[in-house]
Amino acid sequence: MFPENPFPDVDPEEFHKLNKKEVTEDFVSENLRNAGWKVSSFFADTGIDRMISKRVCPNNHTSILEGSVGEKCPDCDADTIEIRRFLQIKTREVKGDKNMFGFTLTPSDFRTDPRHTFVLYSDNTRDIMFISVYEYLKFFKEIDYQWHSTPTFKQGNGKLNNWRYDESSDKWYFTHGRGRGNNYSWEEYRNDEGLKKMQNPEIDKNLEEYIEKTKSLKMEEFKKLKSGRTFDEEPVEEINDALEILKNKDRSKILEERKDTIHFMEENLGSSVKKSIQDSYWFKYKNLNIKKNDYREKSKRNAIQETLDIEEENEGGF
Amino acid sequence: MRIELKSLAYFFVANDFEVYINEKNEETIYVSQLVCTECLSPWYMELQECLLCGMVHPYIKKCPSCGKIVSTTNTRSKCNECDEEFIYPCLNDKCPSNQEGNIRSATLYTNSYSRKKGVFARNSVFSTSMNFCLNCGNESNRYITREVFLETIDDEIDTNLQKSQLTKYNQEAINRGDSLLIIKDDTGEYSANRGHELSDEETLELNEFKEKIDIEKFYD
Repeated sequence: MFPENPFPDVDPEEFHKLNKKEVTEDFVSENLRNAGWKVSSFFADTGIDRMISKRVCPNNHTSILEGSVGEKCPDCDADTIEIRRFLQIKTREVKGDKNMFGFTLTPSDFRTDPRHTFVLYSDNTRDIMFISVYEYLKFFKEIDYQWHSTPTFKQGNGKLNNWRYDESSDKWYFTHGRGRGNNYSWEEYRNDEGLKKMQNPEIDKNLEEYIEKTKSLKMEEFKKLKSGRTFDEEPVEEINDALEILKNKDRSKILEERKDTIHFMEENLGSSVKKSIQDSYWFKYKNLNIKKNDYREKSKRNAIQETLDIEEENEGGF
Repeated sequence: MRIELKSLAYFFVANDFEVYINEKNEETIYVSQLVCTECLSPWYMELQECLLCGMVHPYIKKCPSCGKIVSTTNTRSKCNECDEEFIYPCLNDKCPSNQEGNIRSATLYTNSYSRKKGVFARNSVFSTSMNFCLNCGNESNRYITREVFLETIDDEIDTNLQKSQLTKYNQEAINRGDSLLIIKDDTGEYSANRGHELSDEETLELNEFKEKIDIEKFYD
């Protein structure tokens, strides 16, 4: 049975939204431990809530509730491999008559490493959904729901309230629009089914291939803009043409333009502005640096040098 | 958590690595970093870049009338010379947002969440999380993770160490593809070694001891 309540002395509903983060993350952790995963939590908060690992058969013979296996798979004698997942846990309650469930993901949540996994935990129905960033983007492409091209998503403040728990059938759906045709089952990501999918070592064995696939799915959706209430058709068409050009642009050109722009900033911004950019913001990024010396000082030095050169030439002439 | 291990964890935090601890295992820590898949440079998901050209966030605001540029740390919302509202533009002159036309107008659209204008205004549609590596321009990233084992030896040692001088637990690091074994000697110097580089002989040939932990070993 997965998941089970590891904390029988307290009902999950006794927590309110301000004090439940820890217990819900712990609920997920303890259940994963029971399923044989080594669970590590962050030492300093960085956005990944848990990193988990498990030794499994590369031919997927390890059962989801089995602990880490040894060096060899007992079923097929293959050398086992250690797989890792990086979990971002979102806990919400299903709400309203229709048992809707929603959460916010922003562009900065989408790595191209398919081991990055979104864990959506519905605490009042005690269901956990596991979905990798690759599967998540693939799901949206397959149902042709271009959420990641919308201005709302790009602005980073759009909550997607489209998951629904159907109590009568005990099933989870992603739903948009009206009618049965727009209900898409999420059962394959739920509880033991989701765990099975997450434990499948296919992405670990072919990591490069899946990184490439995730990148392609991401670029397709992220480098596109949908019109709507925010923008009219005409600018959106032009914006999409520009994004298409960027998608196909040689990366050396992108780097060259970045370099030229930073050079422009070095030459044209005042020293206090440059100091502020470097010391307040860019200091944390390797390979991103603005030289802070004042261009006016440099011009002055150049002018003095030129005068000296002319004087030297004149002296030589006499 | 052992204080020596905690100190090591803070060393990695200070060097922009993510550190994870397993409460069931107090012997090691996990150290991880999101990096470019090609050049292994760090990847910063929180760094904003222009959706239209890939230029990084310049953290400036500009007067649309006189062109004066000030830092975003400046609290004024208007130019003190022209009294115009500042905009938050991309500074790449080749960016489509800086060419006259519909795209430029769209980037100056005022949305309902933020009254600010420009590619890098708060809640702008046109700024996005880093898509192109700062070093090589590549578009994909991956995690690199190492399990870090720490051994403190109460002797000054050269680069040869008997395997038996390691704790039994730390001997497990040898030959492991994802391990990083750090040996600290009594002079306070460190030798950083990838597990797969250490052969399973009785005498281990360690990397040179240095005053600081050689962070480059993480990427080997």
